Amino acid sequence: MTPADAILTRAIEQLSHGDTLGAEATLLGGLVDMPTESRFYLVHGVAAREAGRLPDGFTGFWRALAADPNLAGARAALLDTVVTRETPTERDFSLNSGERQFADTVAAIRADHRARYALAARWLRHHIDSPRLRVGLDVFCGNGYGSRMIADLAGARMMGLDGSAEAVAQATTKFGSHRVVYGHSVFPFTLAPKLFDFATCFESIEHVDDPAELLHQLSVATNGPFIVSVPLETGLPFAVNRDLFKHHVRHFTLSEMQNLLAKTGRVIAGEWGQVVYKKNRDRVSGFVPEHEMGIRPLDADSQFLIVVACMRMPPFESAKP
Amino acid sequence: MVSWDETLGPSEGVFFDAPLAYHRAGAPVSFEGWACLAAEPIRFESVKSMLCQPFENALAIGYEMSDAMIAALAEREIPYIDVSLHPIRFLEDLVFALRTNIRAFHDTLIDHKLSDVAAQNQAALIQAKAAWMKKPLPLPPGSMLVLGQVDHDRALLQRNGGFHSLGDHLKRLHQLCCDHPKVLFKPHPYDKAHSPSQMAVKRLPAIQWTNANFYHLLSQPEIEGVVALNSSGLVEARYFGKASENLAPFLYAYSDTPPGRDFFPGGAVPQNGDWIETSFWRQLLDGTSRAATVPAPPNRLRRTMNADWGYGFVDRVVA
Repeated sequence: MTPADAILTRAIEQLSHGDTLGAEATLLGGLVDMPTESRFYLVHGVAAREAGRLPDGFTGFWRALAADPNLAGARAALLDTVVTRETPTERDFSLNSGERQFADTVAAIRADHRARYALAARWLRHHIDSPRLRVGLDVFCGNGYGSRMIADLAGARMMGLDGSAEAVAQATTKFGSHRVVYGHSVFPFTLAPKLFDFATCFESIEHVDDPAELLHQLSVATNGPFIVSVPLETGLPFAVNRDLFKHHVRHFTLSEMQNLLAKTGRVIAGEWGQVVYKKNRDRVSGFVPEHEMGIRPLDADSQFLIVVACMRMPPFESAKP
Repeated sequence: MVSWDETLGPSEGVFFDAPLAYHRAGAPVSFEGWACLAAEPIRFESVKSMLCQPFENALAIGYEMSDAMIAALAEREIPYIDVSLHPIRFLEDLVFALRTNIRAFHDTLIDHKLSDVAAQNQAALIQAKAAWMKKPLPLPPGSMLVLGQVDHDRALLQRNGGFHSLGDHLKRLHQLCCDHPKVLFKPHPYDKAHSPSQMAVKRLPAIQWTNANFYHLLSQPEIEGVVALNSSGLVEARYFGKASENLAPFLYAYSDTPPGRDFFPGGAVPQNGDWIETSFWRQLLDGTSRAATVPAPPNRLRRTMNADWGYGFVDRVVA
C-alpha cells in the first residue's frame, strides 16, 4: 500500500463512521506532502459535501480535476453536486434529433450559434471581475462547443448540462478539459443553490413546457448574470412555422421575456437581436448567409433575442456587447 | 588577471590554485564541492587568505563573484566591483549590472545607469511586431507561463548546498492550474529532460509544455503573468506588462542603494554601454572627467560573450 493509499483508506474509514471533520483533517495533512494527489481533493470534496458544505465540495472536485484532468470520479461528483433531482421524460434528446449542432470543432458550428456564445464571452470578459476565477453553468449545452468557447474566450471554468447522453459524451471527448466539464441531466431538474457565478442558456427555453421553472432554476444556480436567447414571436411567428420547429413549445415576445425574468428578480441589462432565416412573408424559407447571422441591435426584423439578465443593473452601457 | 586556468593566465597574471583551495576547505573538487563552497561563508582562514591575497592593495574586479568571495573581500576591506549579466536580454545588446562596496564608485555607476525607458520602448516594439505574427498557440485570457531553469544554475543554489527546484513548489503549481485557464511550461533549452523541475511539472498533466519563443509568448495579451524559481525572464516579463512571481529569492538586488560602511556591496546597477569604454573607468578611478556615452553597434557584447545564439527572434522582429 502506498502512503497515499494509506491516507485515503484512513480518510474513507473515518467518513464511513461519520467523522467528516477527521477525514478532512487526514486528507489536508496528506496534501501537505502530496499536493498533486487528485484523490485527496476528490475525497475531501465528498467529505465537505457530506458535512453540508456544498461550495467547499464543489471547489474540491475542481481542484481534483486540476491535479488530474482525467479523474472521471471528479466529473461525476460535480454533476451529483450540481443537479439534485431530475425527472424522467419521453422527449427525443438524441444528438441527431434535428435541433442540435453536432460538429466536433468550434469552427464547424453554424455561425449564429457561435455568435451567441462569442457575445456572452465578450460580455463576461468586460463586466465580471477576473473571469478566470469564475465558474459558469451552460444549461442545455448540446455537444459542448459553446461552453468551450466561453472558457477559451473569457477564461472562465464551465459546466455544461444537457439531456442527451450522446451529446455529453461528444462534448467531454471533443471539448472537455479540467476546466470544462459536462454532465448528462434531463430537465425538469433541480439545481443546487448558488454554486455558479453566471449562467448561459441559448435556444433552450422555447423547448420546455415550463419556461418559468427553467429560468427559476437558473436563478437558483447563480446570483450572477445569466445570458439567454429565445426565438422571437415577432420575427419568427410560431403558428406559421410550427412544423419547422417541431421541438419548440412556443416562441416569445420581448415583453414576455421581461415578465419571465422579472419573476426571477432580474432586469434586462443588455439586449441584442439576430437574423438567421430568410422569410417569405412570415414563413421561413431558408438560411441567410452565415456572414449575416451576427449579433445586431434588437429591432423589428430580429428573429432571435439575446439578453443579459442581472439582479440589478450593473454600471455599464447595456447596448455594447 | 587572476585565473584558475593556467592556459587563460596572461604572462603577468596570477594563477589561483583551485584544487589546493578546495583541499584546504575540505571540499572535493567536484560539482557538489563547488556548490558547498559557493553557498556558505568560508570558515577556513587559509582559504580566505588564498582568495584575497592577489587583491591586497588593489581594486578587485570580478565577474559574478560568489557570496563567499564577496564576504572574504569585505572582511579584509578590499574594494571591489562585481560585474554580472543583467536579466534584460531583449535589447540591442547584452546588459551588464555592476555593484561595488565603494560609495564613490557607486556614484559613477549611477551616472551610467541604463535608461529604463529604453527597455520599455524595446518591449513595446517587440509587442507591436508580434501582434502581426501568428499566435504561437491558442491561449485563453488569463493564461500563465511557468519558466524552467537549468537545474544546477548558481542562481538556484540554496544555503545548504542543494538547489531550488519546481518540485519544492508543487502546491503553488497546482494552485496555478486551479486559477488559470491555461498554464504553460517552457523548459530551459539546456535543462536535462529528467531534472527535478521537469519531473515535477510532469506530475501535473494540466500544464501544457511549449517551446515557443519566450518574447513571442510575452507579447501575447492572453498571458497574464510569468512564474519561475528566479529566472531572468521574470524581470523581462514586467517590461511586457506581465505580472511576475519568483518562487526562490533572486540572486541579485537591482537598485540604486549605495553601499554601507561594512564593505558589502550596494545595489547592482544596470549599465548602459559605457562601462566597456576606457573613459568610463577613468572617470570611476580618478573621478575627474565624465565619460561620454558612445553609441555602439548592436550585439557587440553578445558576440564577444559567445551568447548570440537564441536571440534571432529579437533581431528578426525588431529590425
